[in-house]
Amino acid sequence: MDHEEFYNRVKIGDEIPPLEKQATLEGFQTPEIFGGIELANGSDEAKEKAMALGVDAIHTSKVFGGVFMLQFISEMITNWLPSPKYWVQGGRLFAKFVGLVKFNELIMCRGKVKDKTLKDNKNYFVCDVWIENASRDKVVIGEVQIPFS
Amino acid sequence: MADQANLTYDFFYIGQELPVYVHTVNAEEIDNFCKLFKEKNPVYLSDEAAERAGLPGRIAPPMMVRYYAHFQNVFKGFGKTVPGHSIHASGEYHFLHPVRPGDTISTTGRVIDKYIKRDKKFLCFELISKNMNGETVVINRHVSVWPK
Repeated sequence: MDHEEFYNRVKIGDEIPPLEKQATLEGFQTPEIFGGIELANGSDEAKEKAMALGVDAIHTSKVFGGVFMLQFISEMITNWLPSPKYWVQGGRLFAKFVGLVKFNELIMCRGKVKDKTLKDNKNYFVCDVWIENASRDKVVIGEVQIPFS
Repeated sequence: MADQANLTYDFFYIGQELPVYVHTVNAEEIDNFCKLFKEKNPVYLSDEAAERAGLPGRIAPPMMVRYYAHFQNVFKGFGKTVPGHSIHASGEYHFLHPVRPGDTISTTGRVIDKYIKRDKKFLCFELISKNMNGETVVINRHVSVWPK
């Protein structure tokens, strides 16, 4: 679809296609991602890997990390847009963590267009975004702004 | 080391400059990040797909900022560590310029606020990451509930 056509077709109130993801343990046992700071369950293998990287502080977490959830929101946005270039060159994300996600829960990222606006000669989408846990409680609430011109 | 774990709430003050953290992003790290997050958008994996999308070549997923500019990594420059598990309260990211394999990213930052609310200690950091050409690639404002 032509990008201008996409912009014109999107209406305020439209839902962004949701994205379902699983809150896996894997990332928390990858010290390269967190600098070895957050390692769920502190598995021996992960601790050894972290120490080999020179990490000297290992803490454990029993809940799924915020960075993962923000990555999922970013993925939902780039799946929706005709090109990720709009998101990576001027996109803004604000997110607040309001609930917890347990490991292995299925979570759902959702979004809704709340405004289309012109600012500094650029068209913008402004969207509410949120993530629901397996009980459908909101665990992340936020907003994205995407320049689209 | 336990005696290094002294980046307590009281260590920080508003306006405090954080150490510079430098990291060169490579293609393998981008591959690993995408695999870990099951991120399948081809612009992160293929130059051709990225060029078709109007980008100069494959890029790093924007949230990879939490890899190459994680505030915990920035703290390594203090030679001290956080005394426990901090909780991510909120975050704001402004993505300004795509990061490509081979880009060297320098991240600087400062403490922009600290406060106690409902007996919880909050620290707010602003991290600014620039590439080797001096272009700002991302501005991140991060709020954590501090462990001690």
